[in-house]
Amino acid sequence: MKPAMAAVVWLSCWMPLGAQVTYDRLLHADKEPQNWLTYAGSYKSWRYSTLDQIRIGNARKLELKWIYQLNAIDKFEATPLVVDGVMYFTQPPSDVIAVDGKTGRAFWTYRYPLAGNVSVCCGRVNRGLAILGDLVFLAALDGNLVALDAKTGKEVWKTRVVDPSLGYSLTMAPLVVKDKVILGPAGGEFGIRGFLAAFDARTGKEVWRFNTTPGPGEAGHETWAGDAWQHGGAPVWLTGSYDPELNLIVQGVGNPSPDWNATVRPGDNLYASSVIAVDADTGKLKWHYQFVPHDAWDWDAIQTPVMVDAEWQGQPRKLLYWANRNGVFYVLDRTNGKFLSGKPFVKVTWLAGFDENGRPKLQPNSLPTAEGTLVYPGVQGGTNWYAPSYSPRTGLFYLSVWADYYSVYQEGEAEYVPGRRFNGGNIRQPLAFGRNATLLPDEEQGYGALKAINPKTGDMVWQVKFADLTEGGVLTTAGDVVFTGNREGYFHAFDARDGKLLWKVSLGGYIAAGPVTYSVDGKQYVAVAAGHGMFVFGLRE
Amino acid sequence: MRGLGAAVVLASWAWAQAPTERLFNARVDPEQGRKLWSANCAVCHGAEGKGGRGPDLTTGKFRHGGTDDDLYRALRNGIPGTEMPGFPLTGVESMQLLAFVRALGRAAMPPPPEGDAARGRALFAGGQCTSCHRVDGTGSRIGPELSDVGARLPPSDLLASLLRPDERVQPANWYVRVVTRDGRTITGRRLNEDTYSVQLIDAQDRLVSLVKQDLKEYQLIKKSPMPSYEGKLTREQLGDLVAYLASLKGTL
Repeated sequence: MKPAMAAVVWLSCWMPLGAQVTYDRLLHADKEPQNWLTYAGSYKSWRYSTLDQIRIGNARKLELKWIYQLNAIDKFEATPLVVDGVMYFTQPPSDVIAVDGKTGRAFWTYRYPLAGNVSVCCGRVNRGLAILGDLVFLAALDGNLVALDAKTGKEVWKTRVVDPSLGYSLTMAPLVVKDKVILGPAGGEFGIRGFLAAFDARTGKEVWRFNTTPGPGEAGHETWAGDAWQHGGAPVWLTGSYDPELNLIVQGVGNPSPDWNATVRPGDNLYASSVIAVDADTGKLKWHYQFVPHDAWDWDAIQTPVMVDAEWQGQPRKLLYWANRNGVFYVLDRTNGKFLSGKPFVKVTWLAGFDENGRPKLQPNSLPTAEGTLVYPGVQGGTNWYAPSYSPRTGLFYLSVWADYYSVYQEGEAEYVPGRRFNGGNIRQPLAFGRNATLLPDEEQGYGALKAINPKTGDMVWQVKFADLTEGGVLTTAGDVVFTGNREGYFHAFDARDGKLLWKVSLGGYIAAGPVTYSVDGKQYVAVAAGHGMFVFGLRE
Repeated sequence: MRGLGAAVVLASWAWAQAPTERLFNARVDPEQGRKLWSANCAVCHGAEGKGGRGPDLTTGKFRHGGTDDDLYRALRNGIPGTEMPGFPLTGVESMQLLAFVRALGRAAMPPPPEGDAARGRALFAGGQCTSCHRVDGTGSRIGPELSDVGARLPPSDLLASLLRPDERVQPANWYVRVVTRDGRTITGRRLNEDTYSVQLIDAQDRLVSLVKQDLKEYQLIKKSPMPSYEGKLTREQLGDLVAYLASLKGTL
């Protein structure tokens, strides 16, 4: 039997007849731009599409094609998936809806029976789904991983991943690699113990687990004092990326708990506020880089890892681009985690440079105190989980930023009580956060913007400032259009080269999700979650 | 438990959403203001604000601008060319401290005689007040609605507003002055604003929405368009007006 044939037989052992989304399709997601098969568009997580029907010259002809109105009150942060004309998205907290990509008419709705004992720091949100074969995977807020039949929305299996009564929750879109579903928990504000785990896509059985706060006998345990690792946070609440050549899952890890009282957890607190690279089959750690050793500011490394193969100082290299919540844009070598460069993209006052290993040097008087320490960037970060984008056509990295604002970080009591908040202090900041534009922040206090960065230098190439802050994800296309939304409810198309506004529409609701593009019957669409609706645009005919 | 859950959510500070620390609308605690004064300001301006290395702040007059906005900036950034440094206070702390500084200034402002609310009402209705302010359904909507102002502000603040209207202007009462490309000037109270447009109410109570791209000039005015009534009204008239305003408690 030829090897290719053997693979087909092996796959057919567990994939139902006519299984749609094979692993091979996920692996080559960029070859089928009519679809959007993973949270960030492909394993490289560029959020870039080769579709070019909508381009600089005609973006002004975009018009509304359909809206799907949610039946929800919680914030809509979901990135949809699109598979062969069918769009799948989550309705917060944890429902799943399948609709026709051309008309927005629903095929089915799955209503998840949410438990009542979930504690979340920041909203009952969900950021999206994963798909493999005929199964759609949902990480439900109250701690269950659920596999649904993609054709009917019926539950196929359900696995308890974490216990919500201890402050754990699930908010991320899972990542499917080979035959496994990869995810981790949120709950850093409740003193959880973070991990990244893989579950068998057929059965929901856990296959491996990597603890992001290592226990006795695990490498990195020595970076924690006493039993602080047991409630050390390091949550995993945003989808990672996968490098098939290296067979590595590259994953960002959240901040250590308690957030602002770092005194009770001496040491570097690995693998909090780090990027980790683990073997996709075993979960074994291959390398790590810690952006903020002994993080005392809540600067989760919860960002999308963007993988680019490019020249670095004359040598072709496998790079990792990373705009961190701590305000610094990093370039790492993703074969070994080596630090190549780090440059602030907003005002940063905590950093005094890097040593020869890329470990950051702290400015004096940056750590939180009982009286409070003023540090830039503020607690929401220079950026956050907001999906960035990389366009190979412009070579630029695009992201939403909160620029040039501070917080006063105050250390306080930190007593761990199961299921309770475990912040260890307080945050005070001058920015008037608000959805109401009459309370816009003064620009002097900081501002929100879409920024384009040259990853080779870390320098800003252009930016578009908004009147309010922005949490919008970013999409780029081969039409050299950048799409993003903001808190004001505007959805924009900009020229990817210079940031010139090509088109905009007011959707009347907060945009805090990543847009996607897809095509059906040869027509390109752009979709974005705004307010409590999924809005889809295409060119006027 | 549900109540506790809600409180926990409101107290949240982490990644996705932060609660609003509404700077200028912050609830002000004068006692906190005094503590902040003692810790940060007293060393130069004196324990009671009478001055020392820094100037006397009890006169109610400020050389570098006396609006909340001016004082907030001075506090945050310092005053260039002087020994006054900036202080790393949060927005709410700054407002508490400003409230204390205001109180120092008020002490220099002799209270008007106890007034008569009925005479104040006549003065209010007969004067220019209703061309901007609305009380119980009468008067223009361009200025702040005053139907419940007596429930919101103590008499000392009402008097201060009449004498020094620029001191404290809430963002909801900021004005916009624009000149359109065709040369029209429009002034009004800002109701909303975003990256591309601004919404306001003008002196004729019209709701106006303007696209910023169509404007030649755009100015956000954080001072009050109301004149000071210092020297324009007698002390008795001021007392009557304050008594009337203090009697407005709203109908809700």
